[in-house]
Amino acid sequence: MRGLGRLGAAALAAPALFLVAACAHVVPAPTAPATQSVAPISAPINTGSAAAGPEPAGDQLNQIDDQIDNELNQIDNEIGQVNQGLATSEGDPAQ
Amino acid sequence: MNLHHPIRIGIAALAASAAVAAAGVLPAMAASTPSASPTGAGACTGSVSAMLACIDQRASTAVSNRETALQQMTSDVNSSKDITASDRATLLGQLQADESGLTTLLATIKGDTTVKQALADTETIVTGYRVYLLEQPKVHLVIAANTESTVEAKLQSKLPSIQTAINNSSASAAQKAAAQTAFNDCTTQLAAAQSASSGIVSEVIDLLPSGYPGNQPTLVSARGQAQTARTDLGKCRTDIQSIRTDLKG
Repeated sequence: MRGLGRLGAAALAAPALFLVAACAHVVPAPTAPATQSVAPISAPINTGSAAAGPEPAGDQLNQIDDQIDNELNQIDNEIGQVNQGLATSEGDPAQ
Repeated sequence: MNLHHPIRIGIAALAASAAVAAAGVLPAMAASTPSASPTGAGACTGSVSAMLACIDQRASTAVSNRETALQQMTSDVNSSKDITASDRATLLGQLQADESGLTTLLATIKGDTTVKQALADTETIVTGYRVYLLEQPKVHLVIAANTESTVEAKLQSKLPSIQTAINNSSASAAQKAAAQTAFNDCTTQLAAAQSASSGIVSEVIDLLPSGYPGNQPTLVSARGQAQTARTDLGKCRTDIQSIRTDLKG
């Protein structure tokens, strides 16, 4: 009986530990305010602090650069199609 | 003909040169001379019924090709994230009118009983719609100008925060000065881009096939404006990259 009791206790303890571990994943520890985890694009680029590590300005400028790069490529594509249209011929359907 | 190899090469070189020269000249000629044949198929011949059938077949192909192009343009307008609702509605209305007009025109051609009338109506496929020479460049100029406006607005909204970043940067004085120079240039380029692109849509969106080829220079001019704005925006982007490098220290 004593052996079965230890086994039963272990069987109960294992799922309980599992549950605790799962909860730890679901509910993050409130170590920092959520607003500090991701800087919004519209936020000021730099606070002016001389903190170590990459400056926030670099990340913000990277984002602007990436966005503009995509749109400039779109403009290039559109101008390319304009060029194609201006250089083409309607031809004569009856010929 | 059994030509010696060097001679054959010479003839081939001459033919290739002529083809290259023709390729450079012919599109411009064709643009101003719609009667030029792109296929070299020749005129329809034979009995009246044979000629009408031949014209019908060629008109069908011409209309089908243009409707495919119009559908592609419609898709391009619909998929543009930057075009304004007003410009989108205007272009879609024009494209839809062209599609339905060409469908009606083809039915008219198929009902024509004289070769003269069939030929005249078939010519209208080109002159009444100018799908390739007018509509295509117009549609893409409007999309390009709208996208340029989007980029300009985005850059304009970011300038204050970029200036703040330069002011507050911990980079050296020399690096901050370099960043400020780049920032000032970006501001200048942005203003130039806005100036170049701002009038494009109003200049081209209401151009009509009936005004062609008189309105063709307007398209060419608008393309130049779009290219200028694109170049200016590219310079501003390069400036931002410089600022990023400068502020990294």
